[in-house]
Order: sequence, then structure tokens, then C-alpha cells
Amino acid sequence: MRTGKGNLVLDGAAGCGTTPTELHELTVPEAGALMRAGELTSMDLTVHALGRIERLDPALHAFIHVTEQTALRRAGEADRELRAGIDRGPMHGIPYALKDIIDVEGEPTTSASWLRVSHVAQADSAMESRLRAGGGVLLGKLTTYEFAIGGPSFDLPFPPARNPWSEEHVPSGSSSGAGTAVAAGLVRVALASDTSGSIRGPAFHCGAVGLKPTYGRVSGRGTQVLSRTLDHFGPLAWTVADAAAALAVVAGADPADPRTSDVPVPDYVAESARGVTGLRIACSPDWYADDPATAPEIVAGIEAALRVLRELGAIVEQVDLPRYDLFNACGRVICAAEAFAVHEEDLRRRSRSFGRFAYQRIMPGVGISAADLLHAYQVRRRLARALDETVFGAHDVLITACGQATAARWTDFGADWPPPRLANDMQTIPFNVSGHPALSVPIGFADNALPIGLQAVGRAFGEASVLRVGAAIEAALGQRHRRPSESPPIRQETDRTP
Amino acid sequence: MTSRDETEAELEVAARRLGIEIPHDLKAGVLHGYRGLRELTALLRRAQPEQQDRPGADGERESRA
Repeated sequence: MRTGKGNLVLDGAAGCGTTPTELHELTVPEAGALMRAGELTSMDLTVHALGRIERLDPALHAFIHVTEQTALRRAGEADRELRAGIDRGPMHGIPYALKDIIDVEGEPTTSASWLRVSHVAQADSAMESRLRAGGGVLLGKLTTYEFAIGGPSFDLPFPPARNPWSEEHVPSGSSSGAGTAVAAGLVRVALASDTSGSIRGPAFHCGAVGLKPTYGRVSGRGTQVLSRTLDHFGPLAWTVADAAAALAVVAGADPADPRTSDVPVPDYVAESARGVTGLRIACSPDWYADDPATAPEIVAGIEAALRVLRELGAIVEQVDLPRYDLFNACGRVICAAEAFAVHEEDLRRRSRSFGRFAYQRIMPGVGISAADLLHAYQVRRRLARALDETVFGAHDVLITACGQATAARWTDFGADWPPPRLANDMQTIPFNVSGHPALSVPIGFADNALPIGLQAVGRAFGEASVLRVGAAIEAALGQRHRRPSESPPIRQETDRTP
Repeated sequence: MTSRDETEAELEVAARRLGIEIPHDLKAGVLHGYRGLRELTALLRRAQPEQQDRPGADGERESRA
């Protein structure tokens, strides 16, 4: 093994092949197995990751804050513990990063806002607490849209993250840095939030895997609230196995977050590798196939994925879905009202400290009445029940579109009015409304060479089935060997136009 | 349906009631978003089944467990 910073390779993929493998191409389970076998150290992985961040991130802007000393210290501890026979689980010794709305004691949590630019967290969030206890190695905090809702803005304390696949396109958001960092191979796993698609959107547009777990599966303690009843927390990772490893660590009840549930946490890593034989898969083209906004490659890709699942022994059947426009209306109204409530004081006293996009997206909630909000809550409950009865009564997983188009262009986001398309044709919000677990899985590339994917949705707390389906699709269509080009490097921006 | 001018006045009243002044250069964007929300709230009201489930009968979020 060579040990030049940022250029480490392992002879033989996962120790079983003949082609040298760069360390960032090892899955979390592969890296863990090698560390436990004494053939790799956490320090190797961490130094390699820090080197890639140092080399590539000045042009990508995925990180707001790199915690190099913390990472090196934790890597050393992880290695000492493994040598002493102490094994903290699937994330032991594995580098990870957090969206910068997630608290780490003693570190800044800026939410990418002038309003929080000097804020230092006094305690760990639940996710960080579990990852730290699980032996994980924190690399730093990742770029986000302001307060997880704004947009790819140039009027914030930090520049927006770049899509590593294309200078001309945004990485999507709000977990933009997570999508960028994972796709560029700076880190295998990021933890982030998803209120209407903020994990699954960047995963889709950056060619990564994004999991929004069931509402209450992962604690939100110590995270910046956007919409308390729509916020979900989970991993954005390069592979399904990586996401499963992270979920296994962060999932579970938290007495400090009453939204969480004590439903037992299965071994997601083992579950994700079980295959799909006998699983009942629902599909429905209702929401996307006849919509001219949907790229034909996405329709074809979903059909290809369904063929793969059939060939692997799953039972695929078509179902009717409840109206999409009602899900969308529920999500938008609830998010607007709840987000306004969170930010009301700053909107009154420090309106000029918000970026333009965040202000324009949060402020309209001022006019949502209590009656309108209660109507939305009630329709949400009906829609969730309808999905439980019409889809998940007889099926384990639903396959549908995640996004309808590849990543938006920077030029779609002008500095002045009119604003950008808010959701970039994403179809993720229904499952924030319903609370069902939903996974964004890559299915290849569109004709413009940008990534595309689909969405696999499961029963409440049925993440294991969703991961099984995701792993099968990933293996057939995911092209995990294909990474964005690093040469020539993405140029550093000097102004707001790409 | 509320007219465009009425919607703008409605937004201003709601903001003023809470002591919020919307900066002039951001007002068009906020108003655009607010009009969109009004359309969505109207859609949700139309989607409600008559009187069998009165709003407020449920809690803010049903547990998925």
C-alpha cells in the first residue's frame, strides 16, 4: 500500500481482487472488514479523505468546515480500540460528514446563514452522539441551502456547492454539500435532513444514494428545525451498503425527541444483501410517465429497474396511487406554516440577515391560518392511510420516480426575481407527508451525461425491504464504478456566474 | 377566488399584525410564494370530505409506529 496523502491505494479491491483500489472506492462494509482483518487502518482512510478534500474541495465547496484534528484524533482512537479488540459496530473507524444544520459539541453550526454564522453548538446532536459512540470519524460540516430551505445562493457566508458532474448544473438541495462530497469521493457517508426531498434530491442529481427513513426512525435532536412534522434525518451515501451501515448506527428511539419510535432496529447491512426474491413490488406510472416534464430516460430507466426486479424473483404489480397534487399541497402548506413559526422572530427583527431565497421561501407562511394548517394535517392523515391501504396493504415496496429531470442549471437561479423552480420537478414530498421510508437509487445517466435515479418506498419502518430493493437495482443499473472527472479539475469560481 | 389585489392586501395585513415589514425588494417574491400557497390551501379545503372529519380532530402528526 502506498501512503501518499490523498493518493492511497489498496492492492486488490476489498482485498479480493487484483486491480488496485483507491481507498475512497471501498464500501463501508468492505473498509470495515479490512480494518478488522488488520489490513487497513482508520488513519489510512482518514488521511486519504482529508487529502481528497484538500485537493478537490476548493473548487467544489462541499465543506463549510473541515474538522481535521478531530478526524485524526478519532481515527487514532478507532485504530487503538480495534487493536484492543473493541469493536463499536459498522461505522467504527469510518469517516463521515454532517450537513451543517447538525450540531457537534464545540463546533460551529451555521445553517449557512449570516444569522448563525458565529453559532457554536453546546452539545452533540443525537446523530453525532451515536456516530461518535459508534467509533465514526467526523471529517467536517457540509454546505446546505440556508436553513435547509433557501437555494443555491451567492448572498450567504459560504459559496454554494458545485455539482461535480457538471460546471453548468447545480447539485440540488438542500443537502447540496452532502451530494457533492459523496459523488466526488470526498466521503462515503453524509448525514443530512429531508423535509421535502433534501436528501433524495441531491442524491438523485449527484448520482448517489439517499435515504429518508420513516418519520421517527432517526432522532432530530440537535438539528436546525425547518418543519417539525415533516423533517426526517438519514444518510446520503455512495452505495446502498454505505447507507445501511450509517442507518444502523443512527436509528432508534431517543427520549429527548418524542417523535422517535422504539420499533426495533434490524441489522440493515445484512438485510440489504438478502436479495428481492419473493418481495411484492408495487409500481405506478400515474405521477410521472405521462407528464411531459419527465425525461424519457427516467421512464425507461424505471421500466428497466422493474424488469430487473422481476428477473430476480420479485413480484411486480401495478397499483393506483392517491392524487399527487394533494400530497404536494399538504407538504407545501405545512412546511410554509411550520417554517415561518420557527423563524418568525428573525423575520421581524433581522430580515436583512436572511439570504434572498430563504426569505422568499419562508416569509409566505405568515398568511397560513390555523384552520388551513389543520386542514392540511387532516388531509395528510387521510393520504398516509390511503397509501397504507392501497399500496402497502399488499406490497412491500413501491417504485416510483424520484426526480423528473436531471439537475437544473445555474442560470435557472437568477439573483433577482423570478425565483427558480422550487423543487426542480422532484416527486419526493409525498413521503415526507406520509412518513414512509423512501430511497433515491441511481439508475444510470441521461443523454446529457447527468445522473438519474428512481425512488423506492416502503412500509413504515420497512427500511430493510427498501434497502434490499435498492441494492438489487444498484447492482444492475447503478454504475457505482463511474465517478465524476477530476481532471481537468473543476475550476474555482471567482464570481456568481459559473 | 381571492383577487390579486386582495391577496396582496391579505399578505400585508398578516405581516403587519405580527410587526413584520417585508423589504420592498423582496416583496414580489414573497407575494408570488403566498399566492401559490393560497391556491394550495384552497385545494386542500375542496378535498376535505364534507363534515365527517372536522379539522382539528387529529393531532399534529400520527405516529408511524
